Amino acid sequence: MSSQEVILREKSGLVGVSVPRLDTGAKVTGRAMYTRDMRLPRMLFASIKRSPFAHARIKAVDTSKAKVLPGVRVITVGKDFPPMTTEDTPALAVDEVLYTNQAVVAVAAETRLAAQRAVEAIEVAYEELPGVFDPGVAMSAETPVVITHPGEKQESPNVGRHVFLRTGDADKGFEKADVVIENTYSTSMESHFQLEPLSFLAQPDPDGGVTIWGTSSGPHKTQAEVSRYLGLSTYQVRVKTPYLGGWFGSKEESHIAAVCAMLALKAKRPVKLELSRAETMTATGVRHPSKIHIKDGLSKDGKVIAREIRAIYNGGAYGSLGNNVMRNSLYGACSVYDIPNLKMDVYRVYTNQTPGTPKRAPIGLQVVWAIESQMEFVASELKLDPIEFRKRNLLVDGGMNGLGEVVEGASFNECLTKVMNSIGWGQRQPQNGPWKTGKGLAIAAKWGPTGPHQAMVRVRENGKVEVWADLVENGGGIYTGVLQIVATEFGIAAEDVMIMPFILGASESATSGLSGGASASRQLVNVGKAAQLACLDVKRKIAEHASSKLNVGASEIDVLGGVVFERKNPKNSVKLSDMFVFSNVLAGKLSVGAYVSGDEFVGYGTVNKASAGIDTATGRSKGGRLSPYYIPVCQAAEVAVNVETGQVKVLRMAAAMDVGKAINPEIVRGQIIGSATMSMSAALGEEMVLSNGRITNANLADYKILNVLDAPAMDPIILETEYHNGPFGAKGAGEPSSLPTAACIGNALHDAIGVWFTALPITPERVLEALSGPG
Amino acid sequence: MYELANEGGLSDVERLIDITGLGLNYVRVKGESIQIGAATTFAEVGASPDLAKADVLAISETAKKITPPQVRNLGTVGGALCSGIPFYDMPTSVLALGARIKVTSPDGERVIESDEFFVDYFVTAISQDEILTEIELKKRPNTGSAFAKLGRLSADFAVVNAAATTTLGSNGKVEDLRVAMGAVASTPIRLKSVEDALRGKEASRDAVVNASKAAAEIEATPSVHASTAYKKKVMPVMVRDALLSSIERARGRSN
Repeated sequence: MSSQEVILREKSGLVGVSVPRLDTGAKVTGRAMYTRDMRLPRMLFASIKRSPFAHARIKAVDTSKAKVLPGVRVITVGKDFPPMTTEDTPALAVDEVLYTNQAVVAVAAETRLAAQRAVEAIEVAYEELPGVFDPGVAMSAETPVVITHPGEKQESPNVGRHVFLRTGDADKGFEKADVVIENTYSTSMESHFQLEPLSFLAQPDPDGGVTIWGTSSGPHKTQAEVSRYLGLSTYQVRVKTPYLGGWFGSKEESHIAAVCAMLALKAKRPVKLELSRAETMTATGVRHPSKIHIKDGLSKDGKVIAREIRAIYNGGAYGSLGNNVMRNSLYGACSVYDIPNLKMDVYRVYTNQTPGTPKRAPIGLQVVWAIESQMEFVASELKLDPIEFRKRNLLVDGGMNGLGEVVEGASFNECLTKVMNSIGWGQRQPQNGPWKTGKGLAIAAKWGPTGPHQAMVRVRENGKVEVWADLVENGGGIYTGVLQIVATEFGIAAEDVMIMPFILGASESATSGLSGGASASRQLVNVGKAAQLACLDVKRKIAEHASSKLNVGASEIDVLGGVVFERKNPKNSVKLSDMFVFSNVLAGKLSVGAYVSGDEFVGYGTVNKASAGIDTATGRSKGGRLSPYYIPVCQAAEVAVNVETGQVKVLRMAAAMDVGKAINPEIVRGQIIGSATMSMSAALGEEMVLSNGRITNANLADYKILNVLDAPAMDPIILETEYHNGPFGAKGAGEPSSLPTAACIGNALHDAIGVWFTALPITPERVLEALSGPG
Repeated sequence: MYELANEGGLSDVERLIDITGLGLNYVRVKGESIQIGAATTFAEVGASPDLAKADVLAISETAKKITPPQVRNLGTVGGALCSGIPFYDMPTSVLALGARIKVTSPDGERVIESDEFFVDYFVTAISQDEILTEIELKKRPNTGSAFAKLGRLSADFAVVNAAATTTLGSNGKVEDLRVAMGAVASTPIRLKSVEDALRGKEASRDAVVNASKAAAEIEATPSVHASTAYKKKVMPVMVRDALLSSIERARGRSN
């Protein structure tokens, strides 16, 4: 830590303080503007014609009847877009549909009803083709269908991505093992089920470009993707992301934004596209269903000496972002335990289903469910205490993980102690009638994102500081977190920081530097750090200008609380406002004074965390970090199970998470609770039911999401092992405690009723089946 | 709502008629009967002291178990019956209580027995020109009624629900009973096999558990979240719980 940071920290009032959220007032009073609320003059409404088949050839599209209906303005088809050059989902299907409800034709009309009537009047002739739905079949030689995309080479049929890891020598490890234990774990297809369905509003711009307000995960990502879909230059696409009504990865796909933009450009009028709940559930991405086989070789004293993992993810019909997140499987599997010999193969397989996309800590829930259930099972087989068994295998600081990264900040033991104390580990409640109780625990560590992130700050003549950056308020509290960092750097009050996306009502590609958006809990650690660096940059500029006034070198000068001063002799100072030049800009009676800066006091910050690169032979790091850091999290649950009905109630959960530094502890606690309850719902309730690739329960009555009455008492615990490259030591908090929830509930169920679960979700029906034994 | 209609967002609805002003929200006692207006909300039913009596308690118990509060404040007893939705809760209890259902048309009033009311999925015995106006319950001495529900979530539709009305004789034996179950067929159904198995028997836990087993003979319709096999396992549990609770209440009244 620099000496400057030490000084700031002593002066700081806001880092580590639960400052009330900037957006709370607008949200609780209903004033916060979401895309769905937005209207523009002369706005048209869009509607989409979708495929009734999981796999079919498009023989003909006849729009003649739709075109002449009252109020219909424009109709667009797949061929209106430049041909696809990647494995991504096309804006509209061309020649072939690859999953049920894939978008085929889009209409814009004067009213919603006119648009819907036009969609009904469009006739699409299909030739239905055989579909493939099981990834095991899809990747075999017997597959009835091979799904390929432009520019793609598959190593075997339908394998969209294969990532692997070879560490040590797994085969030799198994030879040396005293015991070998194998199991297969599975998870189901889930919806992200964010509250806000996808919505876009596109407006043609004077230069032939387009401005899009929408439910996008990040303005720069959507800008880059939509410009490619439309064949426009990047800077002709301006994307604004207002408040998101929940996100969790559901808003990564830009092909829907591209459809809306195309309609607006063709109609030369603003167009609104509002997807229904069913469309959002069936055609914008789902959590990848998985099947994960784990084989462990163990020594008698409880060391895992070899582990082999073969994981198959059902990727659905397109690559999209799903292919790119497959490596998370490796990070999730290597971030907790010290296993010398590892062999992992991870496949993402194409099928005729809705594409798999990232969902909160993508691929992590699946991996951790499998590994932490396996760890519990193995401990039981070896007759070892499950905590003691885990402790014998934990990574420790200074060691090396399976990916070849040096271990840092591995506070697993501290996390374990905290949650065990909280949940009353080892104490059993008296059993009551058909309800049996039990406790379980699981550990994980969440990886972090790489890539460049930028921010700009401008110091105003009245002492206020503007923050210009791509900050997507997806509910995680990022406006407030960055505000606290900047206020602290300048020693000013919260009211004196102007988070421009908050004031403008959206995060804008046109007025901000680069960011990867809201994904991967990246904003606070990266854009927050960039904002901190931008503060230091502008303070350096101010110091240079003050140097002659204060008669000391610029490096001796700091800016805090509206005062520019010599650090060793704070009395030698000048007011920040005196650094600006005062002038009258208007003459006569109405003359007012205005401050004009002698120089633009603007600072820039860039954080660019590059990956060390991957050795193509082993899948390991070439030397250095692949994930900039890991966030340890440990979670425990107490459950009650009704042995007559199979109902499961989670009574209590405790989660301890090491976030580096909690800039705003209350927000961090909210994220811990939110992540854990979301995964509890995945563990016990959520499951997309499919019939020949068609999702049959895309509504709230049939897709079971646990609700507020099902939420347990929750103890969110914050640990802080500072991360040297984060703002004030912070990492991220948005995802990690979604990782261990399912496994700790499964392990608690075993404690309660003595049966093992290997498939999610654990429904009442599956509980009774498990209790009545096989057959 | 107006904005939504203006933009064409209510495609299937041509006219909406507000019937909340017809004066059909009441619970009143008239001699030996308790009358519930069709537009009485679940919240009003749950709060009514006239329905807090052992013999009709299943009705207010059902109303209180309906979640969330927004539905209790807007949803009505009549609406629940008219929907013809077989997995709603109120129809099961109305059937178990043997309520008389009054409907009115330009030609006058007629009464439909609850046993005749539920016809098929979304179909009831009400004709096109009739509206449901009142549900009438009969006061019965030495009687208790109860409702039991199994949902996937704390606030949810029933996977299976059950209701029972039990009258005890002076000898403490089960003199008469009505048992109904919901979410297992195209309408809520009477469980006559369970009734026959318990009528005239001791009102003991063993007898109830034994009689409830007959519920598993029903080939329950599966749903997305519960197979027939699963429903067969839990139906006897729900019936047992409703019966045991109704007997306890009947005893409370006879004591």
